[in-house]
Amino acid sequence: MTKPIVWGSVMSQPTRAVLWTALLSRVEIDFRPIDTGKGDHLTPEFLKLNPNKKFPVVQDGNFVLHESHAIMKYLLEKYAPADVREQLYPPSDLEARSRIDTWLDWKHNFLRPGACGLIRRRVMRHLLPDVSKHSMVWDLKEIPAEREERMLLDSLKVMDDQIAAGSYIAGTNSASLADIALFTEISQLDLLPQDVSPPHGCDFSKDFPNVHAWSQRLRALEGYETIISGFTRAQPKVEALRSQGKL
Amino acid sequence: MLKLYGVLGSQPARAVYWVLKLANADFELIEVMPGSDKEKPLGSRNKEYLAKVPPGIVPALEDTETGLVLWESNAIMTYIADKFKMNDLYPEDLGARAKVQQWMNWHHHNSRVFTFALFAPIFRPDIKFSEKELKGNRKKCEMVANLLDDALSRSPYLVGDKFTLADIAVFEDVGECAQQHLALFDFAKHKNVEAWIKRVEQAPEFKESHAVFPVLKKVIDKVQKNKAKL
Repeated sequence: MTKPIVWGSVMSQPTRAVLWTALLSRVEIDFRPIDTGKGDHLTPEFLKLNPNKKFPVVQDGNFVLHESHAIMKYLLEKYAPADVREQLYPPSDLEARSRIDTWLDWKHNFLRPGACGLIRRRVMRHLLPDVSKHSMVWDLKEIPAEREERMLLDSLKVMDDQIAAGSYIAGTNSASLADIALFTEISQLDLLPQDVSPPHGCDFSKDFPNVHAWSQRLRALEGYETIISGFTRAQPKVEALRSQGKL
Repeated sequence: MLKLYGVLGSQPARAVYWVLKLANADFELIEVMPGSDKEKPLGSRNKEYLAKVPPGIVPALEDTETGLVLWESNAIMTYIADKFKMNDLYPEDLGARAKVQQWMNWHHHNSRVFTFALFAPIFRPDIKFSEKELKGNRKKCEMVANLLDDALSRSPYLVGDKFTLADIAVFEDVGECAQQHLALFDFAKHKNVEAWIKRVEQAPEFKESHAVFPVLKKVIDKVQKNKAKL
């Protein structure tokens, strides 16, 4: 059987969430890195897979799918052992699945524009060239930084209250797809200063203690170190730029 | 008993309302005004509502029998479709279901832009958009219409030849802007989208779920008349 192909970049949160899910689903994939600086996402071949110019994209035989949450559910359902599926997105429990969906959907308009918006503005635009000029550069010109900061803080507050009521975000007893997707957004803040609270740093311990404890649980989850390593490789460069006052 | 919180002027609330109608579910619509912190009529930022729905957004669905509270329209729609076994709207086949999920997720950063660009500036003065942002959003509407037109040149509905939850999720923000409804966007250049909008309007319970359109149109006409006077 040919392996499913995943197109994406380790610098992209949705790609990392898909790679993490694939790892937990015990499916071997053929990972094809996309370099936005070279315009890999603008080639006619790629646009045939996803006219949105976005990644990740999965190509499984003739079947092509984009949107990370859809891909995560697809890989899990098609390839994961029953016990893994039951843990991450339980086929036997519609209410639990729907609570997981609620947090996945919530991420799109609250946590992601906050966390990803700030990281793009403060780090990625200095680190990664994007020749498409359609998402990264464009949004930054139009959306005020204060809104991103407020969205991040509001999102962290909602999550902190929610986690206070149980160990994981959707009220499950162990990590679910929602934790994987949300934590992948949160952990990109690692590229901000370590000893400062959000929105200017990634120290959650003072203002968001429940998010802090939850982060520790997620960091210990199988596969996290493997998935994040490509991303954190950028850390020394980020710190060098910061010490030169360029960030 | 199911309780739907929201107002039918909200695109995502209407999407859920439509699916509940299609499910022939026993439900009650409870008015919650998006963005308001008032007690009467209850606002989504009022503490009574925040205790139930912490992010303070509509729609939300409560199942009073099990105590389940969900928010986010897509999560609610797939819940209803699975609960009432609506396999046409939300196919069980793995590939087809994944494609419905793809479009429902795509919706958040694409079709939803129609509302931010064209509807919200009129109905949600509490959200402060800069002129730069509005201009960018209007440009993005064109991009989204092009993407949709391309997809709909290959199949009559977003996922093949069947009407699914993907069409409902995307229609509410896009379709309402058509000339026959709120006249906020001209789809003349996007023939496949135009034809799809008319196709979706033929689905069962469409009229019953969209009676609010003429009411919204009157508000828009009034705002535009006042603007012309200035």
